[in-house]
Amino acid sequence: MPGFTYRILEVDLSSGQSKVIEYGEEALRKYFGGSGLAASILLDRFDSSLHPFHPQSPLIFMTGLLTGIPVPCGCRVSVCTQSPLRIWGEANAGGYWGPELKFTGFDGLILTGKAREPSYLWVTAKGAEIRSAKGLWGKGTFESTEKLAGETDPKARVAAIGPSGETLSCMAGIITGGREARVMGRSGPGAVMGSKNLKAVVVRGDQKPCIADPKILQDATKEFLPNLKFVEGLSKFGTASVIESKEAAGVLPVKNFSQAHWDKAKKIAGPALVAEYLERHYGCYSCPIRCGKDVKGPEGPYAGVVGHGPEYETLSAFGSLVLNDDLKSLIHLNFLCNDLGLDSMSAGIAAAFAIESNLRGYLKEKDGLDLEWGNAQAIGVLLEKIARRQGIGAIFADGVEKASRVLGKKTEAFALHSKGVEVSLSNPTPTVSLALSWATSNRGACHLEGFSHQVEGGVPFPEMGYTKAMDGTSGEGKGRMTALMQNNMAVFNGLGLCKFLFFARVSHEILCKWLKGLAGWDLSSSDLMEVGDRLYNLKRTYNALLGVDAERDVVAPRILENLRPGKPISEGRKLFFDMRKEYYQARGWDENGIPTREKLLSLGLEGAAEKIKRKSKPFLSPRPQSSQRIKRTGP
Amino acid sequence: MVIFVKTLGTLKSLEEGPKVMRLEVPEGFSVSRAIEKMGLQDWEVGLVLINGTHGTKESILQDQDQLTLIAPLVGG
Repeated sequence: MPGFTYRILEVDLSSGQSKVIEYGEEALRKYFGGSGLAASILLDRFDSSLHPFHPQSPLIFMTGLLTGIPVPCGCRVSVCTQSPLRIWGEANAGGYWGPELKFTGFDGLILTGKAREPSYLWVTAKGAEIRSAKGLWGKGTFESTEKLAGETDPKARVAAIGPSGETLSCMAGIITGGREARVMGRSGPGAVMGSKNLKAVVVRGDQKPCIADPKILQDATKEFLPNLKFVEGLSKFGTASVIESKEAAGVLPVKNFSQAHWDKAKKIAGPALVAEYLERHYGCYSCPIRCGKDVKGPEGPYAGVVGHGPEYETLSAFGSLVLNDDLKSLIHLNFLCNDLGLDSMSAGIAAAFAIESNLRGYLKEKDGLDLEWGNAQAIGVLLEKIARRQGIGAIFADGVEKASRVLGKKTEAFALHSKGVEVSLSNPTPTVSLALSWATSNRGACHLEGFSHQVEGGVPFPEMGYTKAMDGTSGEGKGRMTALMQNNMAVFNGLGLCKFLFFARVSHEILCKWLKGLAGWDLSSSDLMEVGDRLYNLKRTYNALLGVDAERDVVAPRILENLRPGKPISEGRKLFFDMRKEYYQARGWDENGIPTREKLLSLGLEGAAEKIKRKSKPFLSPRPQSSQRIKRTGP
Repeated sequence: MVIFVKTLGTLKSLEEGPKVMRLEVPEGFSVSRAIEKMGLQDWEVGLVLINGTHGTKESILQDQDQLTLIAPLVGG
């Protein structure tokens, strides 16, 4: 059958047994692939008594419908699990690992159990083999990736955790490609992988998916290609191209979101990065945009290393956010996060939080670190300590929400997260829907789940009537728009497409043509939006079963202040809660943010409706004490 | 009247650096007409600042206004 293999490989890491799960086209039409199909599996198997680190808690890698298919940006793969933060866990990456997984002849992997010793999984068309990775435990992802490709196949693709995943940090991601570093970063999937004693998943395949009608696919691609003019800035200067613009617009976060402007932005912006350090432009599988900017490490332990240069989020996280304008140090900190397996967005927010806590006198134990604004050297040492849970690193290893519980209630005001996941690096002052997007994102404070601020800022979404920039300071209509954009982006996740196609203004008509070419399906824009709505509600139901409700759909006080700068916080709070109220109504959820039975049934989610009905009070098993977790770091 | 226009984030300004242009325009001149006069297409501009405060493409400019035209923030 075209497009997908309709086969998922399930591996029990405890017993070493594996089995192939086959499923039908109906599931794909209903959930698409990627995090959509993974959500349906995780909800089916939902068991509130399982802690995310329980061996039987599944970790799922899933390709999208268009992953590995020759359409622009058909490169992405999702990893889904219960996040160690006790919410829906999902992260996605481009690069080449996802397509290679599909080329093994399996659409995805379900991993349960816990390997007896540090191990890696070697996946080919023949199935999966668990192999020892004892020698790699404690090593960075760069070295691990090189060694595993050497042990298996030079053309194999590697997804590995670093020390932060081994020590079960809630900020641990999964790094694909080693120095290429396309990162499944958000919501801590690397920790779940570490809890399974799994250092890496190595894939190699040669089974290209079958396509129903290649001509339809190619014609639609030709029709789309002129749209690349919308993303020429990304092609030339990468995501860092927006730094100066964001600074001018008051969007660049400065000094842990406490300032609106910074006169050093130009020094860390895309043009400077490209002019001084570019080695080559990098494109993910089948990507004509090529926004990746590979650089050569200029100094320190990564001197001479060529790899993924810092993106916008990382440059602002370790740049403007902490008042560091030294581009060399930013390249170093980016390499360091990727090597340690840390989500650089969360790690940057944690570093800024640590500095502010220190300067305000809440951090009593200094551990020899001079945590001051702009001290990149101290931040580097802090990251090492976080990844290995050493010294004061242990305070911050599970993110700023948990750190603020240690450092005192007064630090909550500037602990910038939602549902325990650190915010992305944009100030919502001129695009207020971003705060709502963060608060209602299923995987915690994520900008990519909604991308609503892009619509406010002028990227059109014509299928839903948004054709020009909105008044970004007004909350009116933002609840509806945010919900629609979240549904739209859920479609991209299910399809395995990079969301930068949205910047290139890919139309739903083109997406439908690609699906027609791939699988012969006749779909419309409203069909896509219905699937997106279904996927968003599936994940929300998962969260609701874990006890997530309106109480957790919030943002930190500093963000509320920034919604109405210079005015009493009550004004920002009112704006936020008015938007959220409209959002719940637009979603068809009750006032506590729980999907109604009618809503779920209207989307064909009978199983989810039944689970919500049965839910009374969530039972959350206690999280292991940190001392227990640290014990599990060695082989 | 006179206005001062700065562009940010458009491909040209990324490559050559931002420049401030002095334009003589008639009374009642809107931001969208300034965009046209700068040789930009409507889609190339996302956010608009007038004297540092957020405005819209429909905003009417005043003498000595400093207008900043920012490309859609595609990237982060």
